[in-house]
Parts: sequence; structure tokens; C-alpha cells
Amino acid sequence: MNFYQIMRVMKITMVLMTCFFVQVSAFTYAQRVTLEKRNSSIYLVLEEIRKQTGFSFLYNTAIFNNAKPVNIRVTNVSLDQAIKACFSGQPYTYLIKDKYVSISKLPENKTSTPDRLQQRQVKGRVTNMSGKPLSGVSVRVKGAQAATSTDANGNFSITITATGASLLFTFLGMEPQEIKVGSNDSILVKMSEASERLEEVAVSVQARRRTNTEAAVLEERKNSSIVQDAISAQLIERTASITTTQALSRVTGVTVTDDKYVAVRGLGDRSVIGQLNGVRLASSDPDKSSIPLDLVPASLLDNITVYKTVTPDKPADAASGIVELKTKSVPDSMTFELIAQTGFNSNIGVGGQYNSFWNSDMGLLGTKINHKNLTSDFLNLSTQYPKGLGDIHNLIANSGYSPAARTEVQRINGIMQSFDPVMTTKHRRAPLNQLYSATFGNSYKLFDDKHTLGVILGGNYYRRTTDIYNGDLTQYSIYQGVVTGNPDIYSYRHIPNYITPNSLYMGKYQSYKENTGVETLNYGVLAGLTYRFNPRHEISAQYVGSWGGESKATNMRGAYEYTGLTGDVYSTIYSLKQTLRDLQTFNFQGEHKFLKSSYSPRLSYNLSMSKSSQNDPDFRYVSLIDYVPVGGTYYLKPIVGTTGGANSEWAYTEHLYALSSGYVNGFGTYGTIQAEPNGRRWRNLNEDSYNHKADLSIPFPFLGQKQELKTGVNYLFRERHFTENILFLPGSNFNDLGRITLLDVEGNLNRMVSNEVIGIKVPSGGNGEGEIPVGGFLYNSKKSPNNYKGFYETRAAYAMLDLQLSKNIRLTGGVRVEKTNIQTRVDTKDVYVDPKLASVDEEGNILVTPFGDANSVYKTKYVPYYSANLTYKYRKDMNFRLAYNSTLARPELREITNVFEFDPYQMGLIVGNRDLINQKTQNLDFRWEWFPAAGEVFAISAFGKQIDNQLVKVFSLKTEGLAATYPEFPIIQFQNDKNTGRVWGLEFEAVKDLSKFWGQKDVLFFGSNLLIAQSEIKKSEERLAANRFIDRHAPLNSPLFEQAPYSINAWLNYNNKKTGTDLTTTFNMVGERLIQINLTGEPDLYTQPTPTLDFVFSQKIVSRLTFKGYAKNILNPAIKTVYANPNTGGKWYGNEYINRSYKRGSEVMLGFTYNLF
Amino acid sequence: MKSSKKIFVLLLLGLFVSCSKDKFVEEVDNRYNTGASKSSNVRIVNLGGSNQVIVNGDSITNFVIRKGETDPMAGKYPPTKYFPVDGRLGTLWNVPQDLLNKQNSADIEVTYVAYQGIGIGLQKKFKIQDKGNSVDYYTLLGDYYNVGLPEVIEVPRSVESPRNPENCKIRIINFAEKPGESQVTQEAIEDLYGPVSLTWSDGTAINNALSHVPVGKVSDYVEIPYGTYQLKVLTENQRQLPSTGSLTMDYMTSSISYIENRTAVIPTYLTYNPIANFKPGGVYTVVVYSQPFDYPNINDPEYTHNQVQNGFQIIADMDPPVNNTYARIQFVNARAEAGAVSLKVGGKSTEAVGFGSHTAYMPAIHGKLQFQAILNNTALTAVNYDVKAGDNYTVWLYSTATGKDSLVVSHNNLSGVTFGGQSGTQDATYERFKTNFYTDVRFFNFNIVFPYATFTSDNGKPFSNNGWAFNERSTEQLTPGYIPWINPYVRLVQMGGNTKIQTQKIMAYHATENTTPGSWADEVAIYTTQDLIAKPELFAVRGALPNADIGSYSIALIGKQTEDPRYKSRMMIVKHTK
Repeated sequence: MNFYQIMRVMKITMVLMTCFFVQVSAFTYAQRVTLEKRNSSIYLVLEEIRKQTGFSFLYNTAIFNNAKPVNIRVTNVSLDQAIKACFSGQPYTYLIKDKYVSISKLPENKTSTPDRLQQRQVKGRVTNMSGKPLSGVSVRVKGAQAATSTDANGNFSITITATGASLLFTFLGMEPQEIKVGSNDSILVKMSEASERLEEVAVSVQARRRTNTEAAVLEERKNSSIVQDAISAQLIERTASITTTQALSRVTGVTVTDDKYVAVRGLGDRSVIGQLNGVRLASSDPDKSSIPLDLVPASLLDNITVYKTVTPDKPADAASGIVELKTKSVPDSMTFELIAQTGFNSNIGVGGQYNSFWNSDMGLLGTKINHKNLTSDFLNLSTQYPKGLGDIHNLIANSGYSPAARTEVQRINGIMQSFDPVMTTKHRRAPLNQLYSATFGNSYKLFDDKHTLGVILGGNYYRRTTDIYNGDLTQYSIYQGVVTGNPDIYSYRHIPNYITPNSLYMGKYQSYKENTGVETLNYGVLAGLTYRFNPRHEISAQYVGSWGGESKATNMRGAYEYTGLTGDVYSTIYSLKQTLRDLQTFNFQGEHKFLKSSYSPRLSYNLSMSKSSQNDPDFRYVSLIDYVPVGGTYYLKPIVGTTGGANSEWAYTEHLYALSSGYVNGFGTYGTIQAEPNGRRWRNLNEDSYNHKADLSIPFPFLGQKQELKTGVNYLFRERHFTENILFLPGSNFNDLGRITLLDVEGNLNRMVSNEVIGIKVPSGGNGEGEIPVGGFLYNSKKSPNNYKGFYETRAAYAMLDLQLSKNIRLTGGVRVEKTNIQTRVDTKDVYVDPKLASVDEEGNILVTPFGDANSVYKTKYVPYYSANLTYKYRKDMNFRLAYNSTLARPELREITNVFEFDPYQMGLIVGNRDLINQKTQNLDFRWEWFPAAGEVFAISAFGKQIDNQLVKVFSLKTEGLAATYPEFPIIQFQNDKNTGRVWGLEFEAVKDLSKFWGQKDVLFFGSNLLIAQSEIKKSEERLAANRFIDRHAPLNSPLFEQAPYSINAWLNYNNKKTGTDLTTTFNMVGERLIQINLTGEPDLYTQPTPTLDFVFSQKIVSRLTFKGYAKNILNPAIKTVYANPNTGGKWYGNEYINRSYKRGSEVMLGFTYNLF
Repeated sequence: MKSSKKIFVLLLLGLFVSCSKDKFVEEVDNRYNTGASKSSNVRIVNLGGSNQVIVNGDSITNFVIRKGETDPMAGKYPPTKYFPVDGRLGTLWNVPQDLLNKQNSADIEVTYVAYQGIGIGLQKKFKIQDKGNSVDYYTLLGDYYNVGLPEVIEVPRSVESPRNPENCKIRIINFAEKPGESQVTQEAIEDLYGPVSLTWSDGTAINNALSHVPVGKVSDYVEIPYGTYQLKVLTENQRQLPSTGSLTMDYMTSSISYIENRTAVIPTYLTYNPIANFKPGGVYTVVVYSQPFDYPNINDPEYTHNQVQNGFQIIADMDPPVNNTYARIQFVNARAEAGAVSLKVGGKSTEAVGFGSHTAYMPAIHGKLQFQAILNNTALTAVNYDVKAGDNYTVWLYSTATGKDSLVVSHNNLSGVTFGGQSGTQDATYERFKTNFYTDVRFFNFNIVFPYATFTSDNGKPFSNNGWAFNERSTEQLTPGYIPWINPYVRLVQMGGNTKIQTQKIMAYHATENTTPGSWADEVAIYTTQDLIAKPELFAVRGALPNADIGSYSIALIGKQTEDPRYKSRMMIVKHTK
């Protein structure tokens, strides 16, 4: 079944579902009924009545599940009488209105048949000993599958089958209770806090700890010794978050960029570390240290916790926070849940189109992306022909004389022509978005109930498409003119005379219409096992595997605005990208309590291994300039002639073409490096990570309280292997024949990479007899200079005390020592460098390396980091917290590696820095928290950070300014900033149960959080000079890169347990963020705040089936990036200069959840 | 029920929004306008040197004049609808159908515009008529330049392929003329007027129908095997006519000439006749006509001028089909034994030849073929070979050091194309040179007396290739039966090449594994490049021999250790272009 069929089926299903709820009858009949039926099904009787009267019946079929057969005998009675007769002795009631009869079931206790009391509903309320309601308490019928949990008010209701049943109540930190249900339908349960006796079973590893509700995570937060925020599975579901990053954007102080990169309190991904079940996640992005959170499906998680202050038992390199993902825990009873959803993005619609490209099919599991990997045959060419393509061309030219050479040349030709001959995008029909998820969990008692085995299995799959249609992209500049790197299409750069320091304007340089289609595929599996030998010893193991595929096709059509040339200069950009990522984590953990006493030492350990990879095969980028001079023009066309004769002649053309490229000035031995954005690129990153840790906690009595000493070790080893190949295009400015090739193919980019140009021009019979073959364009099989491998090792040990100084004051603190060892090595063998810049020996080694030493080593001794967290429990439900800690941030492998590479993603020359050292951050936090009732919280936090040796991304551009004849690109390098950076901010949070104002039955929750952060960094001299080139008043300081001044989240949840309705509206808005630093005189680029409004609903249809759906980004505002100075409302001297504006489209999903138990 | 209604509303909403978005995304296509128009049966063969056309009073060429070489726009001509390359009339023009009127005819006016130079009388008006059969209108220079024939001659043309698909069709038209008024004041030049014969490169006749064709006559088409030939057109007194495109010529020999020290004009005695590839299924016309050639000024040889002389040009009468079928195979018997051996390929056999001789070419259909050397109906040896269409092979039979008969295959490049790429560029599309007037020589060793043989020029000097792609290893330390394959050709003569080429010796040396050239093999007679001339008589009519003849040659060291003069070590020359 192809996806069109699937789509049709889905459409039909939608229509049928509509009909199911509204069974409209088009016929009219007399309203008298005559009927005689014996032992007939109720449906048949109703159908007969419908036929005779024309009245339609509305009912939920489930209500007739236990209906008795009907005996009826009526003659010429009214409809009312007939139905009455039909339902006599049965627990149904009905309502006749217009032409409809709606039937519902009477409440069970009103039924008159006593033998049906076998099943009954028990209601109750769970509180702690002081009468405070407990929410999230697990309620289970002993020996049966039925289970529920208490709501925010501690209320629950559960159906039991027999009068003698017992109910089991369990809750984290509370003593379990077993209550026998008598004839009483309403029970009150008081749970006591876990006592000494209970601590025996308090050994509970992550895999069993169940904190999947908001109430539970708040409870955990309340009891912790540090500042932390979290989002539970419950809220993840309510916000319809598919990926972990989507869920994270709802957490206070977290901002998410591009659905991928996470910043906590404004500090970017370097300062945030990701942990999955306590184990460090390995990065799969070659250029960022970002954690692949978007790979982990949110539906496999119990909660996400963000630790904003840390204790010494946590890694010290989380300068701004630790994002801890907890996968689904093993439930107490069997659960099995299935979710299937389908939907679409409103920019596409059902059966609509999105931008894609030929052979972009990723396959069901994304595995087809890897089919585009470079073959070993291709890569081996670089060693087989170490002197490069000249060798191959020579072989080709002589292959006619030797059958063996001919075979080899045919082989090479096959390799060269095997690349997809496509550089352009095209629109195609989009499949519907799909989401499937399944989870299963259970606990089994073994060996006479002495051992417990818990199992959790989960799987998730989603696939969706988004499309930006006709977005606007405008490049403003103070300059005008055209520089393309090709002398044919050149118009000198100048600043128009109306732009002066006294009249600040920018003119349009290039403007484009953007079409970008993205297809995303993501799936993950989770498997967890826990085994408890006895209440004091438990081990568990988890496996999480997730895979993500993405196809992105971008097309931009536009032109240079003021060229100074006679004729139009068009520009077309295509970008075709596919990415396959995976992340697999396996961990084994154990918790052991050695003695029965509550003062027993406890050992916990976690051994883990993870593998992650990111593969970007055949990323194609091309930027074609098409100049149409008025009246045409001429170019020298090469001709194959005799040596003595002319080897070119003038040819007429109406177009001149170029693939825009330029240089980076001021780098390396030669002072200049070619910057070629156009090309096909292969990038592959593999990282293996080992993280082992062990913690020993020793409780002891002191000051009449139980205190704890904790110590432990942590070892992390990451090993990375990165390979990159860049294949230049035939039309490149750096290919001597590039411009001729573009003219030969008439500017058709697909022809440019077709067999017409690529590979060997095998002489056909049209040539002379026995003519030698000629090599056309051959792709270079040598590696780019950007290949490296390296490792990243940290060792840490800590000691800390958790002291309960008095009943209300808790102090947690200690010291942690960490040691860094980062080493990388650049692969300089068989590397392709511009032949004009370096020569290569017989072996393929570069003789003159523009970049110096290939090795980078950074080692430190054990460096201490301190932390202290003071918690003052003002009231049982109110905390004041004060925390200080010092942390570090390490350079990433890529940043320290001595490579240089022009990167078309960032449009700059990325250069490593061997001299990078660790950044040191000191954090001071204050928080006031109030938990007025279950599930409610009010909190205010203040934080300040002082950053020394801050690792900053530095853009530097050496420009020739007006004299430039080619596009110039900056050098992008990480450096330790000599200036001390400071970040400070406030966080507000409020979650309130509003139902008290509304009434008792419905539960209405409101939640919101707000982050206000201020960050400043002094601009580098170069950057300031660039800014002040024209704008003499450009500010001295700049916000940190990608740092937002504020971020706000609000949600409103309506949950009606009676009708099974759950509605959530969420709102999110992030303040302007600096996203691009301009060094050519234009102001920097900032994103503008965009309000995001989502609506999520779920409706229980029958007991196990829930209808769910969401509409995201309902407002669908234009997402804008502007040239601006900070804090000006996105303006530059009163004018708005929009760089990019597009609409993401609303996303609609509908589907069902089926709970088997 | 309330919630069901809500869901219903949502569903409806979903259906409503689910209308797909229509997206109009313009395909970016920056191509030129290439609206091809259909050709009629009429072709104009513009031998009269015109460069502009007016059809039915409408100028369809650009009539743009550039002011000589100093004009910044020199060489740059804007295209027109019917002449999309440079807007000027070339030698051949298939008249598009849409230019013909309802009677399938059109009034044509061809003319010549230029800043300076000849131009008088090049304007001609004539009517063309498409009668349904292919027809050519040949235009000649005009009576001011030469006299004897009308300015425009209608000649029917065949577009039928030859009956035998291995063949091509060829005819000769003799539009030779005598010099006209404008030539009276010019220098006296060789008289090449009269009946002509189309011959192979050694002057032997191809066919009676192509011989002795009188002035003003068109011969019948004759089928000849396809191949690469240097066809020659001879006058009745065996003088070779030059061909269009010749370099500066000598007055009395009509051969390519060089100017020495700005004073002396040195004839090479090589008349420019291109080596051309006649494709299977092709139809060709060789037309002799009076045309301008380049001659040195007699008093100031540094400069040249045009003068009209009878020369020929080869014209394809239909676009030659691509040869995806045939290859040509030639057999050489280098086995120093008695007996005539033939080569059997598939079901066909060549004629049997004795030691030191080679057969004519035999076409074979491409594919994996077996070559068998047949002596007295028994196969001496065989070799399997993957034969490619369009290729040209020489199959050599020789005896190995162990006395075993063996066949090896060499691939001949008769195209005149050589590889020019020296640098490590990504794209070698234009890294080659092409000429149709060359002397290429390569060497083989089939003599087991020479475990290693080196071929040299005079006194052991290695062959120089004047900068052409050439690997010296292709002439050095050649083992018996080895086929050198990396840039194996020595180019002795090429048009526009080195003018200083003298007659060179071709010598064989006993090399060893570690020494080259080694010691001269005095038992092997020295050849010179003049030995490449198959029929010296052909050149003798003009008084002297050139340094070498044109063509592609293999020179092989053959023979064995013997007193028998028939099998003694010697060099043999195999010429591949006929």
C-alpha cells in the first residue's frame, strides 16, 4: 500500500468516524410501531424501531455490552412506548429530541437487579498522616490487573469485582498500605512517611522510581537539596511533546533552538550536559557539544529533570545545568499502552506538497540514507592514485591501448557516475504525519515472592513533514555591487552615497523566496529490567536505542537588487541534506544496602556504554548566479585543436553563470584559503562513550538527626572519529573549466552533475577510429583536511556531606575534583588541499601544511570544584534555598582539534584552537518555593554566574572592504575570552489549581514560568570596529550568542475525570536572540519573539480507548530574523530590516490511545 | 454526548483544514531558447565564401562587421534565429522548411560582408526548390576569381546509406576552374586544372568511377569499406591537390611551406590532405573547386596573401551515423617461419600472409571475440579479446622465447587525438589536441633475439616528441610481445608543429634489463623516416621527397637468429591509414 492509499484510507476513516457519531437517517416514516421479538438482541430491536419510525439512535455501543436479550410485543404503539417496552428491566434511559433518540446507561447503583453487584466502584481519598491529600499514589487491586492513581486532591475511584478485595496503596517515600474493602464504597487512607523499617526497602534504583506525574516531580523537587525543575510524562503528554527537546522547552529557564539545541538559563549547549538514566549522553553533532535530545522520543520518558545547582556527586562541567532524562520506570502492575496518531502540517495539508528532491526516500527506518555513503571503492582511489586526479586522467587517456586499463577505467567511471545526478529540489506529495508508540511493563514475583523482576519495554515511531513555502529572505548590506568570485560577474563594491554615519540605512543586497521542506523520521526503543534479590539489593539494566533520519530540501530563488550591471543578476540556491543519527545507550546499575539498619551504608553504581553517530551523506549545496546582460555577451570557448592553433574562440551567450564562492583572508601560511560553499559533502561522526560511576553513602547520626556522608568516583571516556569528504562541483570557480562547464550545460545544475559532465567521455563511434577516451570531470576522492580522531577523558572523585543541621536547615556541600585529558589528532594523510596552496609527496602526505601541528593535547591535574546548598524549610510546604558552586566547561573535541575547514552550514572557515583551556564558572543561586497543595507551586529564583576564561565563538573577518572582488568569509574559532562574563537573571514559576474557583468536579490547572536573564559580553575589538565601520554608536557590549533576555511559558489544563476529557492549552514565547554576528558593517542578526499557542485534547471514548489530538502553533505567526541592535524591538535606527520571515504552519494530529490494562 | 459533539466539530475542522495547499513553485530554467526548426531537403554548400544570407528579402544573418583584429569585438558575432552560433553563414546550411514558401521554393541571396579583403562578386542570387529529393546548391567563388563554371550548381545528393552496412559511400565532384580576372596580376602557381581521380594515400585508384572525372562532372557514389583514410585527389599528371585548410603553400608544389629567416620559402613536399574517418553507413562527397589558399608574399615572405587554386574538400552528405557496431582488425605475421597464415575472427578470415607481411583490414562486429591464427587449416594459437566498436586493432603473430606461437593485440589510435593533460586538474575535457595531418609511429619487439630492444633516432638519441604526451618507455627495453600502452606514439610530423623536423633515422638497439639503449644492432638495417613513404613516385613528380609520409604506423622488430635472409632480424613497417 503506498502512502496515497494510506491517506485515502485515513480520509475515509475520518468520514466514517464522523458518521459513527452522527447516524443521520434520510428517511421519514410513520411514527407508530408494531413489533414482536423473542430473545432478540437489543440492536435488532432498535434497528427495527428505526426502520419503522425514521428516528435515529445515538448511543455508545459499549453500554449494551451486558444487555440482556429483549422480549417485546407491541402493536401500533408510540415510539416512546416501544422504547420503554424494549428497555423494561434493563438499566437504560433515553431522551427523544428532534429525530434522534439518545440512549445512555443508568448509573449502576440505580439498577434494580441485585445480582449485577459483582462489579462495583470504590471511591476514596488518600492523605498523609497530617491529612494533606497525596496525588499520584498508585492504587491497585490485589491479585488483579485493575490499577489507578490518585488525582491532585488525593481522590481515586476504582472498580473492584468482589467484596473481599484488597487495595494496595504505594507512593514514593510512603509506607505501602493494604486496605481490605468491605461493603464500604468510600474509603479514606492515611499513608505514613517511610519509617526506619521502611528504609529497608527504600533501595530503589532509577528504573523503578516512578515519577511520571506533575505532582510526583514536584514532590521530588520539594524534597531535594538543590535547585531543580522538571517536566513529567503527564505534562509531556499534555503538551503533546514528541521529542525531548519539545518537552524541555516547557521547563523554566530552558530555551531550545532549532528544535535541537538546548540552553539552560541562557548558557548554551557547552554548559549543559545531558544524562540518560544518570549516564552521560554522547554528542552526535560534529560541530557542537550539543546533546542529541531530539533523538530521544518523549513518550519513552517518565520525566525530564533539569538540575540548576549541583552537588559534588554530579558532574562539575554542567555550568548551567544537567538535563536528566528518566526513562519509563517499571510499573507495579502490568501496563500495555498503544498510541497511533496521524495528522499534518497546515503548510502542507492532506495530500499537499512539500519541497524534497529526487531519491530522498529515507526508507521506513531511515536506512536508505546510508545508501548514499561513499563507497570504499571511491575512497580507495585516493590511495590507488596518490598523485591525484592527474594520474587517473592519464590512465583514462591511455586506457584504449590496454584492455586491463580499460577495465579499470570503466570501474572508475562507474564509481564517478554513481552519485545522484541531482542538485535541485522539487516539490512532491507529502505523506501524512504518523506517530506510533507502544509500551509494556510488568513486575513479576519470583521464588516465593522473595525476588522481584521488573520489565519495561517501549517503542516509538514518528514521521512528519513540514514545509516553508515562499518565505522571504533578504540580505541587507551597506554595500552594493556584485561579487561572486567569478570575474565574469562582477560589479565593484561601493557604499551608496545616501548611507553615511549620519544617515544610517541599509540597502537590499540580495532578496530571495525560500522553500524548505523537511521530512523527519524518528524511532526509539527502550528495554529495562530490574531485579530485586531482597528488599536491600536491586540491580537493573536498561537499553535505549534511538534513530533519527531527516531529509531537508531548501530552494531559494532570488536576485541581487542593485547590481550596477546592465541586466539582471539572479541567484538560485539549493541545499539537499539528509542526516541519519543514532544513539544507543546500555547501562547496568545497582543499589545495595549492606545492613538492615537505617544507618546502613549504601552503594550504588552505574556502568554504561553508549554509541552515537551522525551521518550526513551527500549534503549538496549550490549557489548559482545567473547574469543576463542586456544584449548578450561573449565568452572564450575552448576548442580542441592542434597545439599551434587557437585553442579558444568567442562564443555568444545570453547568460553568464557562476557558482558563488570566495576566500577567507588572513589564515595560515598563505594568508588566504579558498572558501567553496558549493559541493557535495560527506560527514560522519562516530562516538563511543563509557561512563562509569560509583557512589557510596554512609549515614550517621549527628545533632540528633540522620546525616549522610557521600563519596564516589566517576570516569568518563569518549572516543570520537570524524571523517569528511568534500567533492567540488564541475562548475566551481576553483575548477579551471568551471565557468565553461556551466555555460556548456546552460546553467542547468542537474546537467552539471550528470553523466554528460561527470566521468569518462568514452569515445563513441562518432569519434575518430580508436580515439582515446577523455576524462570529463572527476570527483576528488581525497579526504578533506577536516578528518580527526580524538578522545576526551575525565576522572572525578568527590566527597560531600548532607547535613540536617536542625529540623529546618539542611546543608549539602563538599568538594569534587576533576581531571581533564583531551587529545585529538588530525589526519593529514591523503588529504585534499588546494593544489595552489600545498604540494603533496608520492605517499600523499601534504608537504606544506597550512595549519601546523596535527596533534592537540590538553591535560589538567585534579582541580577542585566546590559546592554548597543550603535549604531552609520555613514551613512544611515552603523552602528557601541558597546555593553556591563552581563548575567548569571544557572545550569540545572539535574546537581544540587543529583543523580548518570551510563550513557551508555556518558560512565561515571553522578553525580549531589548540590553546583552549577549561572555562570556569561560579554560580550563586537563590530560590523561594512554596508548594501550597499537591501539584501546586510558586517559586522565585535569582541566579548569577561569573564566567572566567569563557569559551566563546569568535568571528573574525579580514576584509578588503570596497576593494573586494570576491565574497569574503570569516574565520570562526573558539577562544578563551580574557574578559569576565556575567549572567544574571530571575525565574518565576506558578502552578495553581484553579478549580476551586470554578467548582468541585472539574479540575482546572494553570501553570506558568518566566525567565528573565541578562547577559553581557564586551565585543571584541574586531567586532566593534566592524560594527562601528558605519554606525559610530554601535553598542560596546553584546548579549551572549543565542541568549534570550526572557522566555515565558504558560499552560492551562482542564481535566474532567467524569467525562474523560482533558484539554490543555500552552503558550510559549522566547525573547530575541542573537544568532549571527556580522563583521561587514551591518548590525547583527536577532530572532524576534514569536508567540506559540498549542492546544492538546484527549477524550476517553470507552474504558480503554482514548481519542487524542493536538493542534500546535495555532497562531502560526511569521518567524522573523532582523538586523538590529539589542533591546530596540528589532529595529536599527528606526527601521525594520527583516532578514528572514517565514511561517512554520500549524500542526494537527489526531489519533487513539489504547490501554490494554 | 457533549464531548462527542466537540470531537465532531474538531473532526470537521480537521477535514476543512485538510484541503491540500496548492503550491506554485516556478522551475528555475535559465536555458537559451532552442526552438529547433525542421530542415527541408535543400542544402546550400557555400563554397563561394559568402558569410551572409537573405531569404525572400529577409536578412537572416547578422550582417555585423568587425574592424579587423584590433576591434575589441573581433571574433564576437551575435547569433540570429537561424544561425544560433554566430549569426553567420558557414560552409553547409540546411535550409529550414519554414523559410520555403507554399511552392516549396525560396529566393536566396548570399553575400559577403567584411571590413576588408576579398568581397567583389561574392554576392549571388538564386532560387531554391524543394522537389522532395535531397539536393545541394553548390555556390562557387564567381567569375572575378575563376572561370569555367556557373556560380551556383544544383547537385542531387544521396542520403541513402550504403547497401553493405560495413561500407560507406563516396563520390567526387570536379568543379575545378581556371583563374579569373582577379588572378591575372597574381603570382604564377601550379596548374591543377583538369580531370581528377580520387585515390588512396599512395595514389592507387579506388574505383574507375572515381577516376578521371572531367571538370564540371559529378561521379556516381561508390561504396568503399569504412575506415580512416588519407584520400588524395590527383590530376591526370599525378599531382596531389591540396585540401581546404592547408597551411601556407608553396607556389609550384602546392605543398605546405615554411618560411626561413623571413626570406626563403621552403616547401615540405607534403601536400595537405587530411586523414579522415569515413564511418560505416556514411555518405561523402569530395568536391574539387577553386578556392583561396594562403601563399607567402614573394618579396616579403613574412607575410602571406590569398590566391585561388583548385583544391578539394570532403563534405558529409548526411550526418554520419555513430558507429556502435564495427571494429577493424588487421593481422600481421611476425612469426619467422615459412607458411602463409590467416587470422580467423568469428566466421570470417583474412587473407593468408607470409612472414613480415600484413593483411588488409577486416571489419568485425564488436563483442568478445576469439582471434585464431590459421596455418593450413589448423589453428596455431588463439586469443580472446573484447573488441569495442569504433576501435582499430592489429593482431600480431609471433613466436615466444619458448617457441610457442602467440597472438597479441595492439590498439591503434587513428583519430589524431592526443592527450594534453599534464596537470592534475579535475576536468580533462579540453585537455587534448586533435589534428588530421600527422605522422605517428609506435614500436614493438617480436624478435626473441632481442630480450630487450630499444628504438632510437640518429645515433642512439631517444625520440623526442616535441612536448607531446609521449612516454619514452614506449620505445625502450621492449620485451618480445609486449604492447607499450602509456602514450606510445612518437609524433614525427604534424601540421602546425615543429618546422625543423628533418629526416630521422630509426635504429634498433640491443638493450638489457638495466641498460638502454645498449649496443646498436648492426644486423638490423637502419630505416629512415622517408622509408615510411610507400610510393615515392607520387612525390617525385614535384621533384623531391618529404621527410616522412603522413599516417599512423607501427614499426616492429621481427625475425630470428638465422642465416636465412628471409627470416633475418629486421624492422617491418605497418601503415594503418590507407
